Amino acid sequence: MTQKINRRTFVGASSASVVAGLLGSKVAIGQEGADMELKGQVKQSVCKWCFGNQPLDEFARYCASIGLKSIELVEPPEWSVLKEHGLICAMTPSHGITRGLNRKENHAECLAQIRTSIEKTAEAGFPNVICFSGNRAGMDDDEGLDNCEIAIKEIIGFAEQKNVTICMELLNSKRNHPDYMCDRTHWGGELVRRLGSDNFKLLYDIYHMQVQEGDVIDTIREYADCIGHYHTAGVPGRNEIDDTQELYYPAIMRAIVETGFDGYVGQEFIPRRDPLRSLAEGVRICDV
Amino acid sequence: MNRRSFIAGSVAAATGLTSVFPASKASDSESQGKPFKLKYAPDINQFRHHAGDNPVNRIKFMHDQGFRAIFDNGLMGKSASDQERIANALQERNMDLGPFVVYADFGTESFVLSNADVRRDLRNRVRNAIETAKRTNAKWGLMVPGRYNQRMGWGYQTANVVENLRYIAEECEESGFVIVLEPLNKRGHPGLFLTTIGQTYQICRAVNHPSVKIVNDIYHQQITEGNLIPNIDMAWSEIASFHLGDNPGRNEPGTGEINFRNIFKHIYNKGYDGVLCMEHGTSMGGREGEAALIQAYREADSF
Repeated sequence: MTQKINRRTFVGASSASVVAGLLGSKVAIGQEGADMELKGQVKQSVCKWCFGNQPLDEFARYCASIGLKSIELVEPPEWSVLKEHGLICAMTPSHGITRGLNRKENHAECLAQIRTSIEKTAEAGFPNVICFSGNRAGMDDDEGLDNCEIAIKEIIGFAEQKNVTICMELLNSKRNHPDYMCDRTHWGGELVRRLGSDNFKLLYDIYHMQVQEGDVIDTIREYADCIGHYHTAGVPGRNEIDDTQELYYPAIMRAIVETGFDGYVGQEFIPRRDPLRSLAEGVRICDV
Repeated sequence: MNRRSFIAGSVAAATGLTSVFPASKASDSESQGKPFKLKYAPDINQFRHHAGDNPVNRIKFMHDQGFRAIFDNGLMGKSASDQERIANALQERNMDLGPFVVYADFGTESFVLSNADVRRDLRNRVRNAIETAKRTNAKWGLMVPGRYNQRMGWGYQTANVVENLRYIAEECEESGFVIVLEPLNKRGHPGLFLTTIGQTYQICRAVNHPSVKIVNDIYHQQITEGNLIPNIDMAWSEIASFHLGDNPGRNEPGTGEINFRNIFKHIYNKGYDGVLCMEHGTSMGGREGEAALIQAYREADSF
């Protein structure tokens, strides 16, 4: 658990203020949703780690009230709490970020974790399990691609059998995850197309890819068949997705809907203001 | 010059469509006619449906709408008297003239070579540009430094570009004319030497001269590298001009994935006093499209 949360620990510094913000939140849990009527064309999820350490039960109740369908990257022991509130975990955790599938010596360990996650995810009736390429550490991108292909081929039959999709996350290597290999959509897209299975896709993180490569909408259109899940956040800063940053999210969401996307969009921004209010605003911004 | 002609093309395509000026938004807006917070510069060819074929009338119309600059990529190709007419119309209204194109040969290796003939040619072009600038009070000219060479190490090419720009800077020294270098996106323009803001910043720092700066085209950079605001901040000391356009589509703000309102706010808060050339098409044709263009800038300017 700690290992998995570690990738996110750069928020550690801000988590204190997030918690403070939550405790002092002016949005009464459970009330915000009363006036939220969503079109619902985009099924929305949220990453718990961005929103502090308040009890999952309270957070889940709030999330359900504002129209979210999922809280993701939550460990299996907590899934029953989500289900009590009618939520799913749209992206379940597996192995860590820096040591991933691009190195053969990591395959046994990572694949064991992915396998366990697939089993539990299928049992719970959830759709996706996350995975990562790992860091380059001097390795050539082509060799990493070959190794990822070998690894996924070992597990893809099991994922297909269990009707679970493994999603490799695209992250920027420029700012947040230096040396991470799966940092370009064309590299990830090549891996998906080599495998040719509906049960292996990319997690296209809009924040990370705007930092790394830009051209968001055209890239989403070009790789629509390769993308199984999305994440959000504002650029720069990874904060609210509103008018305080450089991307216009409604246009991006419309483009996603136009591709016929049937998966989930996970809010993964670190709120600078009242976290729950910002989350509700984020949901509204993406509800096109 | 292909990339520059699509705007003219879209204007031509729009001809023939008629529509009433939508009264709902732009005309009852309190801000109508008030100067924009930043110097957004329409293309000299814009607003033919509202202001006709005479460029002076169009400049008057643009000023009435609150614009305080224009740009004319093809200025050097116009006669001296036409240049002066435009310049006078701008001067009477205290409007700026954005960078005009001095050199944008997408098919030739030029700046990347260390070659006396190439250098002579570039210097002559800059000399001509300075004559145009003197006639029109233009402060900036735009250069796209041509193609890269597939058989020469990148370091040598970069050094040659820097060296050629030093000669150009020397040429500009007396008049204070400023050359702005434009990186373009690789998808639309494969094979060109200059692509990223970081690379252009590196070159400007190496030349280290007030007459060699960057024009940051937000549309091109969104395609090439994203991360717009961080790049604006990192290269700030060398940015002397902007080009605009949303992506995808290369139309007015609000038609794509870029949140221009916040980018303009960011630029404004940095104290920017330069020109931002509206080098893009319109999402709609005719009068209606022109009205929507103005309204888009009103909305993007409301920060």
